[in-house]
Amino acid sequence: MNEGQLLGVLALTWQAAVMLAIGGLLVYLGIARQVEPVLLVPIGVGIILANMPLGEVTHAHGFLSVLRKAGIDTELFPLLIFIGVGAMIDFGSLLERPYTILLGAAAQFGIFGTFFLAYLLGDGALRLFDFSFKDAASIGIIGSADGPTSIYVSTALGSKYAPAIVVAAYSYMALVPIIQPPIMRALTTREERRLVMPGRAGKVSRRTRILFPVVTILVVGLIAPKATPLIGTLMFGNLLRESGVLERLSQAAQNELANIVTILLGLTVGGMMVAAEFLQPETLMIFVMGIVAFAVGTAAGVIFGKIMYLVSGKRVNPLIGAAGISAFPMSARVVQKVGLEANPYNHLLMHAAGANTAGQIASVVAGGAVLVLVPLFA
Amino acid sequence: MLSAVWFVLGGMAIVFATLSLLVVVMLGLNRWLGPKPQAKTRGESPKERGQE
Repeated sequence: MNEGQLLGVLALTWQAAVMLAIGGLLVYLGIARQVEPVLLVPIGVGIILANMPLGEVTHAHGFLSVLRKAGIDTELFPLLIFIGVGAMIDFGSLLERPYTILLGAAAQFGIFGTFFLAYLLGDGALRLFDFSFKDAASIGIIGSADGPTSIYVSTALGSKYAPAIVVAAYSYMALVPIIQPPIMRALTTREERRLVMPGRAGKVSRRTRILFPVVTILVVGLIAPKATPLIGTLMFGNLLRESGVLERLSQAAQNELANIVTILLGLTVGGMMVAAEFLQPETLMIFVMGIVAFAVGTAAGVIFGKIMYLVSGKRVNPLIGAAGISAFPMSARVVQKVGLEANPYNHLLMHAAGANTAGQIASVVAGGAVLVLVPLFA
Repeated sequence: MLSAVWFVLGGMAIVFATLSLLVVVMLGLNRWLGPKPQAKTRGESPKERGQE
């Protein structure tokens, strides 16, 4: 055995050093700048561990490999996270304003538009990057603005870029307040942004809140069966919340389950970012495509909002369409902020929250649609 | 590239079809299971007051 196999520093390559720096940057951003710390700190540490020379944590029996096989390859972690997410979400705003679910549907064009662009740059036409049909579909799913859905779909499709896609999906979540406002202002007039929507909507009964998750599982599962695991776990979590008799389980899903799985998921995703696989031109392009995905989704939501503005006789503020891109609850807050800029008496938060929770369901449906359609067209 | 176009159209069609059905379901749930307006107590209506 030579010294290079004993001392990690002697086995350090420049690629591994770059990855250690990236891991350190994510930890810095998470702690010092408080950018999505819950995710970026575990991911950053996972990157550092995975790229430590001779550390062997990603070798066959290394603990990050074991976690990857147990939680990512089986698609278990994103589903467990979804139980927690479902228990955290209040679908009341959506149930009070059912029409806002169509804004969530429109914003999913971020997924399909980005897919089209990625495929155009890859195997579809230009061949500038090594993006197959499956890879392009996986890259497009960043537009769901939903981490667990991104992990689930990119892993299920077997994309070799899954780690970069997941990191891009989670990183851009923090950039929603920067990416969305310029697009929202560019696509709307001041008159549209100033529009005040009625503050109160019809009340929703407890029976409706309890039945909604069950009915949603049935509707989504019967039309897009591949989305059943995602919508099933999301709505199971929501049923725990709304049932009124499972408070302990609801709290456990929101706190203990979500926190534990977030730690394991973050470390594992970071552990997937090994220098040899990560440092490629394609990875850089995936991060560019991530911005495109969020921007296209936002634009599609706002444009659909403008259509609703016209069809409703100027009663729907088009800004709330921007909240259709899942990214809960960031994009709803962005809508509220941009609305207040145009009119200090314009409180759009509850309307945007309806579109935002709709985006959560829509992104799951879109993920299921991608899984159904890729085998047919790829 | 034609398959990519069909993929995009098909995907958006599935999303809109599913969520449109959910709109109908939500409207139905709100209509049939929504909170009922409280029944008026006897003697509240103008007709009954007039009779007294």
